[in-house]
Amino acid sequence: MKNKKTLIAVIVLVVLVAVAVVCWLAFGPKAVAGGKTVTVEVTHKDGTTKTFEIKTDEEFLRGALEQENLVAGNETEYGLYVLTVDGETADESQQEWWGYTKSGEQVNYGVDSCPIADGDHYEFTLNVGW
Amino acid sequence: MLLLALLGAMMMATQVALAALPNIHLVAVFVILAALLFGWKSLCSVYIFVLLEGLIYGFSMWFINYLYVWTVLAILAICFRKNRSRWFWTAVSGIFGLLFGALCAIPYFFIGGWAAAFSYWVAGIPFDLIHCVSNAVLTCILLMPLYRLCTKLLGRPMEND
Repeated sequence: MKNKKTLIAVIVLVVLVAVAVVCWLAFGPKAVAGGKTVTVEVTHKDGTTKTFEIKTDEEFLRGALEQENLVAGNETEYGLYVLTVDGETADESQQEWWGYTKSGEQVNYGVDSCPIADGDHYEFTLNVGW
Repeated sequence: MLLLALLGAMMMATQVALAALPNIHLVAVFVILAALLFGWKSLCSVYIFVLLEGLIYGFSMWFINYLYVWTVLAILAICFRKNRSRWFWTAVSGIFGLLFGALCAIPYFFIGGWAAAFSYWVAGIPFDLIHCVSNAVLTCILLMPLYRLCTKLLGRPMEND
């Protein structure tokens, strides 16, 4: 009986791994090679905004931003943790943090794994409060 | 109660110690161990761990996830606590690691619907796969030796498979 439970658990595990891999391959982020232009709009703590048009061959957002020296931060196990955008550094002691959206929509990827395409529009905003 | 608190603290300490490694930690091993040893009382260890996490990392969105995700594993482990098969718990721990992202996506379903929850889950699949493998390997290696050690320290008879 217990062997049967173990077998069922192992089968469930294998099936779930297969489902996860298939979903990642089908719906995961896909990078686009070649030249592209993306727009990055930065909203600073004082409410001022600056817009940058970036022409790049990079496939992910981080590469495009670093090409223009727009971001800096700490390397983490999940990629770059953005602390500075356009020269303004978030003061974590004041619960400040940089967040970003794509055409106003939430992005579930860090800048390292966010694929970019020609015409994309990203908005970086300095937020206060966790 | 002291042992339950100690297990909660061990979950926290080992999680912080391994924080540099993405989704590799011993929390699932300790949650299952606590469930095997203490049954429903193990939920005290789980919530001590969750509270300590909140105190260290701050109480934001992720904290809502932590309020129920570890409880899911604890309840699952309590339901099967008579099972002493190393491979059964290896599989359960792996399944939990794989489903971690899906469980954490639940609040996004209420905020933004299926599309938001699904895209959140998909974005985390590589980390879920790492979580799955690391949970399975660590549980396979450590769970039963830790269980034998704890039963010996507690002066309990071993419950074999």
